[in-house]
Amino acid sequence: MLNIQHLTKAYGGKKAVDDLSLHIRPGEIYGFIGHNGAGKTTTLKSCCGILQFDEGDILVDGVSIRQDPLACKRRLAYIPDNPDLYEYMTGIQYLDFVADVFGVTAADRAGRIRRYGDAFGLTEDLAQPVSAYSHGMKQKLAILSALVHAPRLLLMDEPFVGLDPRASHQLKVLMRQFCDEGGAIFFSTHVLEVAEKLCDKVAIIRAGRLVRAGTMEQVKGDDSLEEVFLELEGEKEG
Amino acid sequence: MLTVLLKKQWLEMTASLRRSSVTGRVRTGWKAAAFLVLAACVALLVMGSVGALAALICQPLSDAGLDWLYFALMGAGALLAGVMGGGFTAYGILYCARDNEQLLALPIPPGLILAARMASVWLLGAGYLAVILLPAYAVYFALGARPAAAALALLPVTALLACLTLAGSCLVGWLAAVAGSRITRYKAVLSLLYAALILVLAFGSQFAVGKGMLWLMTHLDQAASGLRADAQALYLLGRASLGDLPALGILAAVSLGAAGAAWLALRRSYLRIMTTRRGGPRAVYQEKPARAHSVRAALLARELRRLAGCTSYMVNGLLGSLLLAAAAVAAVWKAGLLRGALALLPGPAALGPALACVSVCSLASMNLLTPPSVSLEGGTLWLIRSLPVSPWQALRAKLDLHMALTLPPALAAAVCLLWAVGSGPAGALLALAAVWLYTLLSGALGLVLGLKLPNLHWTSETAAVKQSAAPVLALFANWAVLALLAGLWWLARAPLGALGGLAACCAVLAAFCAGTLAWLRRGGARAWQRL
Repeated sequence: MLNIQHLTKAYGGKKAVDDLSLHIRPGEIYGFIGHNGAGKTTTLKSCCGILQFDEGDILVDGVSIRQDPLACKRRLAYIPDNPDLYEYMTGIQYLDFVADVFGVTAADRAGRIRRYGDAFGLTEDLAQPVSAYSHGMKQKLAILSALVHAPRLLLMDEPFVGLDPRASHQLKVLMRQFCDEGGAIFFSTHVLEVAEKLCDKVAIIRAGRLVRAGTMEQVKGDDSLEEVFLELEGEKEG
Repeated sequence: MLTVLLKKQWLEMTASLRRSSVTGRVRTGWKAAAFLVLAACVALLVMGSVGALAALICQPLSDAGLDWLYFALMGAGALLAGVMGGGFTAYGILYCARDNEQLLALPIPPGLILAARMASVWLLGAGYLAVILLPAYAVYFALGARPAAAALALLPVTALLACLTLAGSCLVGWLAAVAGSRITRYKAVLSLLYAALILVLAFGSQFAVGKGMLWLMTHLDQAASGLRADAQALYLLGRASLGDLPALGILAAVSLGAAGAAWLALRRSYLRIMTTRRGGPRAVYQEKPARAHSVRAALLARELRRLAGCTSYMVNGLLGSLLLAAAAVAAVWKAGLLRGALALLPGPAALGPALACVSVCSLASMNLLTPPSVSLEGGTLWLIRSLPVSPWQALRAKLDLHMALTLPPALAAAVCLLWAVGSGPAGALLALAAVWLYTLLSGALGLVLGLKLPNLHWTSETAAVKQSAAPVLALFANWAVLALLAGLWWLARAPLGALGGLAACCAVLAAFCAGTLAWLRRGGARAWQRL
């Protein structure tokens, strides 16, 4: 579903991502872990075509994001860590806009908005302007807009930040359901407990370079993910 | 504390000099220098046109020994321009800055935050005034008497008048903030009405000043003695501008007093306005039958909502449309007067379409919808770029908005003017084609400049709309194209006739449009992706 091949991106002289290769298959929830500034957001932005990269390639469903960015974008949805949405629209206007861009039929969008809106407890607030939303509500709206066009790949940057416990639980359920139906998710997180419980596979990035990747068992063995992460970062006490 | 805040304001105001507004990274030395040269060129262009106007009144007034009246008129004009220009800016700077909550959360007295923000408004006002006062003084020293005291007065007078501008601008900004905090519904419509009111006031004052100046020039002695007796404030301003120390002292007391009073008055309500969120009645979503739209319609609707959601964008972007609508009404209303005036010119029948065309195009050139549209994407740029929308589709939506809101009033005004001047069908068709092509070209040129000079890291939308290079340069570019076409028509009318000249203009416009649109599709798309 998502094949990152030797991705390299430098800002000025500094490599933010250095020769990163990953393969996310349909049905997989793939966690992406690293300290601040490790290159997670750069990688995610490159995957959804909003950041040009220097070397390598990224294939979505076998299509290169360099060669045909629009075809790739039709298959995926991106949720950033701090969703700056159109504050001059109401929630429903925003969802309709995204649905129009993806050519979602009226019947499909109505059903999905109802389903996901109710799941996240946002339906009643859809007539409010986005400018009146709290951070968590914006995050929920961003998730709804990602799901309204039924993508095959979800790219999420810190998706649990700002969500209340109920929405956070709903998101985890939906993520599992989404992948069980054949979708794939590649998401970054700092919450290692969530990653440990939710992810099928995990990749750890440090200073732009991949330091470990594989199934949860392969990566952490008998230790906790937190212990492995801190050990790789060289910060474990003792 | 105030020094720290002033330093922050200074860093914010000069940010575009030090860092790229696209990447947010530090500019290299030569890029900063190029930016300064560009800003200086724009300032010189504006000052040049002000200087030309000043030259018309300086000599006769100076010869009549009425130097004070010259400076009083220029100073009053500068003050008016400063307050009008600064009004909307003040609202944005004082009340809509993105870091308001960040600062209010710190242990800083709100009055100091206000004072630091007012310093920005003062600096901006001083800039507006300098654009008028500098050429006024330059013309005076070139054409009039040359008292040394007047030269020394330039800086203090500009600084003091900027204090008066500050007081006026802050009052306009405060009124807008109070209204904004109380109005919860129909904000877009009310903003447009407010904008129209400000425009009527601005143009009404300008018209009155122009009319007054004309009368003054023809009744110099009578007017001067009358003004000196009846309008002591103007006399005082004129004397202060010439370096008269007592007059300067009074001006200083009045200006500093007004600025201080404005700070005291605004300080009372500042924290309340900034921290009160009234909110409207909570609209509960009721599911309605959904309707699907094409991508192009969805993108246009997005642009329209963006316009309706930003008052300063509406005011700056739709100035031309408002003037075109007024021109259409005026053309029908004063058709007889227009025909009479045209009859005085040689070959009136042939001149009519060209004059109608130039008038409509000059008004349409003031619709600056596309130049700030790229900058206004700001922090939401990621969104449109993450969707399956090609750069050209995103850019075309901005052009569609320009055409949807500029072309109908432009064509309506053109039809009314063409009817008023009694144009024939061939001339009318050519004039309408030229208006259509010019409208398209002005929108496309604005978009090119918006892509070339974007400002994505603004703290207030006003900065993207009013304080960016793209809108100012787009206005000059539109006028340059118009001047070029007028020159072409003038040259071509001898060998080709007036209508042939108009046809030649249409051909040149069509070529310009094709070239600009071709660049937008390729180079523009690349620039969009690099943002």
